[in-house]
Amino acid sequence: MVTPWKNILDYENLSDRYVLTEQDKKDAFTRQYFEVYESRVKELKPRILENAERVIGKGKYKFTQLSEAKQDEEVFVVGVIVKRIEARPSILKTLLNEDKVTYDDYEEDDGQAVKRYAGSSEDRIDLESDKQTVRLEGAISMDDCATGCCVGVLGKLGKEGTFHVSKLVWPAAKCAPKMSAEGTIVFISGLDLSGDTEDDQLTISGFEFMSDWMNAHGETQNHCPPIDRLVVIGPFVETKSSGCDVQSVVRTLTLSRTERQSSAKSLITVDKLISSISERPLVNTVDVTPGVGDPCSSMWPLPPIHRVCLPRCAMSQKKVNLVTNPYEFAVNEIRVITMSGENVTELLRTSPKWSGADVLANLVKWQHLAPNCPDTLDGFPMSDRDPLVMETTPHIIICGNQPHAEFRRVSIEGTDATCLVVCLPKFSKTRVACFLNLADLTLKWQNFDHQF
Amino acid sequence: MLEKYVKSKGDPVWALYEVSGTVDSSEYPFLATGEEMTKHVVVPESALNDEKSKFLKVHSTNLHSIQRTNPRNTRVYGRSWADNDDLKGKALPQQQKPQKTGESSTAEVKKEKSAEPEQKPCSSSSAKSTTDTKKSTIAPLKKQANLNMFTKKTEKKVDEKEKSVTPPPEEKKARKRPKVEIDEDGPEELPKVVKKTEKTPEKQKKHKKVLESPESDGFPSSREQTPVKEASPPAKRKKSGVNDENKKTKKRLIVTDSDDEEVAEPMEVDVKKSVEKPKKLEERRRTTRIEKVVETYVDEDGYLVSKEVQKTVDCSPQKLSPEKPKPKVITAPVPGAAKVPKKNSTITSFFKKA
Repeated sequence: MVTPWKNILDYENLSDRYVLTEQDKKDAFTRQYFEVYESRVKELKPRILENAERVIGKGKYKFTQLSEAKQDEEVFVVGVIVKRIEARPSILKTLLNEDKVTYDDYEEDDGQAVKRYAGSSEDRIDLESDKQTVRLEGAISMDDCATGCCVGVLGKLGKEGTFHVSKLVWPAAKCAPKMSAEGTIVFISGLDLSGDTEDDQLTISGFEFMSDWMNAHGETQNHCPPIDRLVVIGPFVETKSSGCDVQSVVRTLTLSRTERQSSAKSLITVDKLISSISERPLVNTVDVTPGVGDPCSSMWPLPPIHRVCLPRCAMSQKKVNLVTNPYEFAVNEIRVITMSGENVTELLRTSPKWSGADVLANLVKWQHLAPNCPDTLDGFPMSDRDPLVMETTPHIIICGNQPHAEFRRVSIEGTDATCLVVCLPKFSKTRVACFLNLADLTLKWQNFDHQF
Repeated sequence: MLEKYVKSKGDPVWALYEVSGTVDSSEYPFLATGEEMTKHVVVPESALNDEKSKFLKVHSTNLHSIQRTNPRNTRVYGRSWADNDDLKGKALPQQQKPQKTGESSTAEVKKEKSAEPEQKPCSSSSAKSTTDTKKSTIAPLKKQANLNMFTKKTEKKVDEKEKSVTPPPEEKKARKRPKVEIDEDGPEELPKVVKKTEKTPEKQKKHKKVLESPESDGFPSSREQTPVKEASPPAKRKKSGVNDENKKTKKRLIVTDSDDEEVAEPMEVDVKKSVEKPKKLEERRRTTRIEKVVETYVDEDGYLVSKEVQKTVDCSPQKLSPEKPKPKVITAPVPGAAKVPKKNSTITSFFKKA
């Protein structure tokens, strides 16, 4: 008789800020996206000024508006970065040229690598404030920032209308105290079920094999430790494209009947798989967080999948937790943020040098989970707040659906703390799961396969 | 113990083994160099050693599953065990085959039984065969059963009478219309039944008389279905409270053929039940219906004008006579209220005068 594993860790769901409120939804259709940037600057500006005092020195800089800056006078301005990339696809260019080649370049190559924009000498970085836009030059490069980042810039306004940067100041990070706990959390991402039994056979069999192994009772060295939490990151349903461009939206609206039926079948399969693993005695809780393409809104932050879509999971509410994307939680005060990875994938396109871990490290530096939202990542138009601002830097950031499996410990500027960033590959392609030991924050990649 | 069991049994027992160990990152392109992957793989016994050689370090080798049932029906992680390479050239266990054949034979027997009643309608002409076919045959026959729902009682009673009165089976096969014979033989018995039950048997009498033809079979046919339809009031009529007159006109067109018969027959007022139902039918028919009537009249200027007008007509059994042609209504102008039409009040009359 297998005794069920009892959770001894204190769990707390910290994803309230990602849930849309009635105030957010009110008049959303008439809202413009500039309000999102306004609220972002409003939230991060105090933290930038706080960090500027530490980096530059208190009283050693003059904080002013960009419109009031005088020529050749060293000032400190705060604004939003805009990266102008010539190779970036533009709907206007497409309409003018009647050429859809740019979208072909936009697609991923077999899902193993993300297509990057080709660099050009005409690429430049601009800083937008509330009244003015100015080109940045100097101590700044294309790999230091992304469109939508809120930054403080110390420099001088030149004659040519450019701003010569001498120092960049990012928002100050607020870190949680270091904690440890005994337990194991398992992360998997990207089931990508198509609804076709033959295509999904490897994914389903790998998932079932993992489920069996996680519930095997044994005393050998290699037997699975008791799982405190299994976090399953979407997308669960296969999406043909990245889901973030016009082409995928049009495709979604024009799905054929067989395609719609297959997505319903894949959802039923997801429901069965998750409910079956949740019923195992040695798995305490399963958290289900959606991705773009799953049956929920595709605008970040994504709401939880409604329980109607997963009826079997809804029946076992204590064991299956339908959560948002991003999903932030704490177990014994160890803070973890998980994301489905569309934000990182879009950011990877803007630089030929970045890897997934580099982007996550930059997100920690920029103190924002998705600065490219709503520029290249669909986001809900909010006016009073920006939920994707990193209020407290977590101990662990998990990003799913990445082409490479990697992890890194990122040091947080201005503190002694570090943040463990992890990129998960798609389970549908690799059958790899990440087992995280909370005691020492060590990772184990586990592959589940069969060859018969 | 299980491993000993497997070794002792040998064929036809097959086994899958689960191997867990550490593998180099070179096998996984998505993994950074220097990283280690813990791999768990399920392999058949024949590939066990090859698989173990690929591991940097083998942590454990366990027996995953033993297959003793029919491999074709056995599936492990979605894959049929029969596809296992170990089974190539090996005979399947025979123990399960007879069970399967037994099961298949029972299934076949059931199929045969279900097939038999389909043959019966061709051979015999009794109503029993129709009832049997209704129970265990394909959809078209079931539809017939649904249509005959309201006539089941009479059929059963007819069957009972057949038992008492019917001639030997040889004569049955020769006769094409056994129901007609019963009616002819037992006219005294039937009125009681008729009085107690609805009018439907009476309708059947006449329809059967109508349908007596050498070409007709003794089995329910499309012809026979229509009078049943007419006889049985559909449920919708009872439920619908909407006075949709157009629909009622259509319905009445169907019912009018039988109404004449009903009007002629229910002179026997003794039976209350039989009278109540025609009354109910009459009440249903005492409603208005919209009819398009062509009116021709002479207007003030002397022109003969014809107009198509929608008029509401009260329908009653007395009034209903669809066989009678509807006379054209010609409304003569009221004297004094309008000009008296002239004799030569035609268009051409004006030209003649001129």
